[in-house]
Amino acid sequence: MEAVSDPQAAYRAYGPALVRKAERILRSREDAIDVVHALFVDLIPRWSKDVDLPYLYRAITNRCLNVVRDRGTRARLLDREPQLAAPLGRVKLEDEIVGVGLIASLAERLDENHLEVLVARFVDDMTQDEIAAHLGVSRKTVGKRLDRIRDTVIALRTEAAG
Amino acid sequence: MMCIGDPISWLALETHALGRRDAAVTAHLDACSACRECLQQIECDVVALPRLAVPVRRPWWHFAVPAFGALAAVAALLVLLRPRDPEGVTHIKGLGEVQIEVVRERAGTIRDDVRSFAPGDRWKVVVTCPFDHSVSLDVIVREEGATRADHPLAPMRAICGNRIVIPGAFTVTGDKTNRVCVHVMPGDGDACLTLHPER
Repeated sequence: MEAVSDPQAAYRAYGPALVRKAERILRSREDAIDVVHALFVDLIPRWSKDVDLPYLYRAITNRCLNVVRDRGTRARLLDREPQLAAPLGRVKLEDEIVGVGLIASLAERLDENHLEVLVARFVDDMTQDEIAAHLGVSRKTVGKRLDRIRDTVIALRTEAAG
Repeated sequence: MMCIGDPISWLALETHALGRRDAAVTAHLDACSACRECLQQIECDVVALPRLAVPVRRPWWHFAVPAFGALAAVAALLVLLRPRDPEGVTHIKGLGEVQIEVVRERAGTIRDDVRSFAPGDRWKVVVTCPFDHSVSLDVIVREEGATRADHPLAPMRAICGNRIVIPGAFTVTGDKTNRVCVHVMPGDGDACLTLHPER
């Protein structure tokens, strides 16, 4: 994936892809556009040749996780999520399509590294090899983090049921 | 919707949609309707991005010049608006605040709240300075526009305190204002006030 030297050109080229990604996490196009726009505004002063689509994908993941962690925004997104149509779900976590509600619940129990793997696997539909390359960690580490994520989801469900 | 194998990630699909084709991805898409539908969703999607306003990077002096200007203006304002000593009061380095007052005697009437003179008035000078300082006091009277000053009273030494009366009295004549000063040593400072002629 080649980098784009000009922020405006990168915004035009990659902006729509990033909005779609943010929308898959937040389930809100308006919020997704805001997140992408804010990311580029912040990146412009320190733009470098290293900024490519995978880099921006990670940056958007972190921005969206921050939005979900924000209690006010989270409440608004959770309130709206049940009214929205379910997204295309090719990779499910314990038979569940990962959305704002599940990410918000897991955000209180998992650290940043696990949440990045969660999004990469169950929102971006990456394979473990892709995740390892994308995040710069070993496949074994990715596997361990996925196991921990599944255990946490099972624990959440057990608590909810009992 | 089920993928035939490992789904093509959204990042790979976006990359494909941007025109960077990968043989493995293309082959998977030919065979998998689920991933093909995801690609179509990307290709049909229209995102209305707001305009990206690029902030202009300004050199440091762009902000420094107005900032220094504002600081200079504030400093000038402070100098102009600084509290000034009232007439008759001065601060002398090493001594502190020195205040002089004058007492007028006119036809047997003594007042210390007036600054106007007429022929025949007699004036005395009263000095207040910080306790326990030993000072030398010399009364100087200078008519407006005059090149020479008068020393109508003999210089005296005194221990500072409240309302020290300098011995002796003097008269002021003429129709011009007069400055009455007390020169204080050490510190070499003058505390002055103005007497105005009555018209």
